[in-house]
Amino acid sequence: MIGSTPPLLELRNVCVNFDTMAGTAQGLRGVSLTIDRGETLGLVGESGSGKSVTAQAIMGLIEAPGRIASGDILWDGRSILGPKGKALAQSIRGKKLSMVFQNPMTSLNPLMTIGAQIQEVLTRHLGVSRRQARERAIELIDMVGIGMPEQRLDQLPHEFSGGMRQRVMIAIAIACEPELLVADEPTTALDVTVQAQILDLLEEIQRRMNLAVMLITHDLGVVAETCHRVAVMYGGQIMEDAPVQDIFNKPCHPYTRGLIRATPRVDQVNERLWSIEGMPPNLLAPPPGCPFMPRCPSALALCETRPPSIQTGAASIAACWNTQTTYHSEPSHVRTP
Amino acid sequence: MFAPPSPSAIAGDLQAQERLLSVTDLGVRYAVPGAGFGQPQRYFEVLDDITFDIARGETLGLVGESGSGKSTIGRALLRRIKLSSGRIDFEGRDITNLEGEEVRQLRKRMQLIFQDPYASLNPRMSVGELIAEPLIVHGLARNRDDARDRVLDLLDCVSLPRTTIDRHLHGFSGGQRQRIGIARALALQPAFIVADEPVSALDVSVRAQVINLMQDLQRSMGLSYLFIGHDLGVIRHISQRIAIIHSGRIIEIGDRDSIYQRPQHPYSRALLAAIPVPVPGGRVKSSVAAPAGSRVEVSRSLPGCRYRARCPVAIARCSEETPRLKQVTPTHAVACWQH
Repeated sequence: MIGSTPPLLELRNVCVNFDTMAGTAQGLRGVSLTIDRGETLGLVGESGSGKSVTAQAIMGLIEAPGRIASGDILWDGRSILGPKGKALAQSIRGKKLSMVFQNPMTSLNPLMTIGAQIQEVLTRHLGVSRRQARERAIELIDMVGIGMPEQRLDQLPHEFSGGMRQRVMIAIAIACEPELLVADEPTTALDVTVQAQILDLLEEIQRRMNLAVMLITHDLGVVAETCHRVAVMYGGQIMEDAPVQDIFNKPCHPYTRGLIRATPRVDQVNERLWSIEGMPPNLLAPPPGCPFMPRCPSALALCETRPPSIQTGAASIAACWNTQTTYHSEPSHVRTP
Repeated sequence: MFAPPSPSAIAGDLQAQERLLSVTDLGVRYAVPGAGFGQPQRYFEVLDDITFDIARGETLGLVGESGSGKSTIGRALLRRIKLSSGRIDFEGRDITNLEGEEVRQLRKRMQLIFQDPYASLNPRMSVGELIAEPLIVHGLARNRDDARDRVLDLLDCVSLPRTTIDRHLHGFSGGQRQRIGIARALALQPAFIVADEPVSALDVSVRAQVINLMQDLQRSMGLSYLFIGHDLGVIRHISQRIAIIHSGRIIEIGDRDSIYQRPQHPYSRALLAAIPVPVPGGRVKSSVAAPAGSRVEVSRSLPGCRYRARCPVAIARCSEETPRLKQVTPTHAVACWQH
């Protein structure tokens, strides 16, 4: 924060509401996040926790009845929301800021060749000629590990397997050399052996292009393997935000701990699974305090009030009154007057 | 009611009374449309030579990728699709060729839990009606009121409040709907349940609740499960034995610890190596995974092992002869020429 360069992307206290017949559903309730260049941030949470809404807010995909009720989203220190941010938003979305969706079966146009779909992005955003676009498309297809790129370019999506289509989606997403790639459950629909290949591909592309990646997933294994930093969401709020090692080795929030313990693992056997009793909060009437309080094994009376984000490490925060570690900044971080 | 989970072997040393279900050389094939007049009909082999047993009170986990035929095995056992070959014995009786009323009676003993709790239950029916339906269909209750006590018991069984009996499905979460699906499957007091990806659509915290519930019910009612899944963490947790299926064939079957600690088939190894472990730096990226950019399928009409095109240790014999399951230890068998 003290540094001079602003983070690549910053969300400041973003609230998203959906006006429904039953009332206003609060999709995001004050989400603050940052992503730096070249960093992979994992956004973890269960359905309804707000992880996909966060991605949609960043991508400008919140449509009526949803609306960004308050807060700000900054790209390189400048707002991309509202009338003032409109020009900047239009110039970066789809270009410097791109997205890969969960289902590669439905995100491609079944009537257009793969090549035409990649070239469309290039001609639209970069204004290159058709010939240049085709050459670049061949490069991209090759880059995402699809063999015989020139022949494959003229094929239709149904001629590709699920993993191959996701590779095509990644090729489209990186076509304009983005700085941030938002990937919303990119491997959830794929088999595990294919998932491993796609994750390896994303990692390789990220290193090669110094790309920042926001990886949305519910799979803690995927997070442990690919992310540098993890933000855990619950009930439309960030519960914990810390480097990946800390999230798994010394989780501070009771929800993070519960999530890790409730995940059955291939490398160990427990007699009985730890389970978090109860259900996620109703977003139409979320509890006023900590959203996890009704299910929390260590809830206090204090938890009726929304906890602030408490510093739990040099780069870690947890929104909990009860965090187990009290962070004292290292002497080197303390400035002497 | 209580039957202790029995440590069982693949074949041979299971006692007849312990064995609930046994499947021998089961095959299912679909006719490929488009054969011209006078040309021989072509078939797609969905399942080939499927052989396994399930003991009373036991869970057999069935793992495989999409399209491997794992759901088809479940449907074949329940006699919901036509078999092209093989034999199924259930509770000491050959059920392969049962028809009509006999199949209906069989359904009291074997039930199915579906993956998607949103799509598998009728939203127009109340919870009470949904759970009472199998009782009424099978003549165990005359109407809904008659079944009410039984339905309330079932709600207790799956830890849903008794007050939910008159409510409709909307407003229930995925986990609660899956509990309703389980209560409905239990209504006829089956001995065997095919659970087809029952927790795949559920969130982590709720998934753990449903898995624990299924295990509790198994212990108290002596149920056997065929648990179909693709999440190897869940499968390891819930199963006593595990079968791995690839391209319509069981390529490895054995007790849980053997499969996870000493997988023998190259495909099993690739599958286990591909799973991300929730420990940073946990998975050792290995070369056993399939080569990038390929999903090589070996035609199912050719002889030989169907994994050979992706297999790092394939030999000439793999494309000439089909390997059959062979015991490597008394509780572990693998279909690979390298063993």
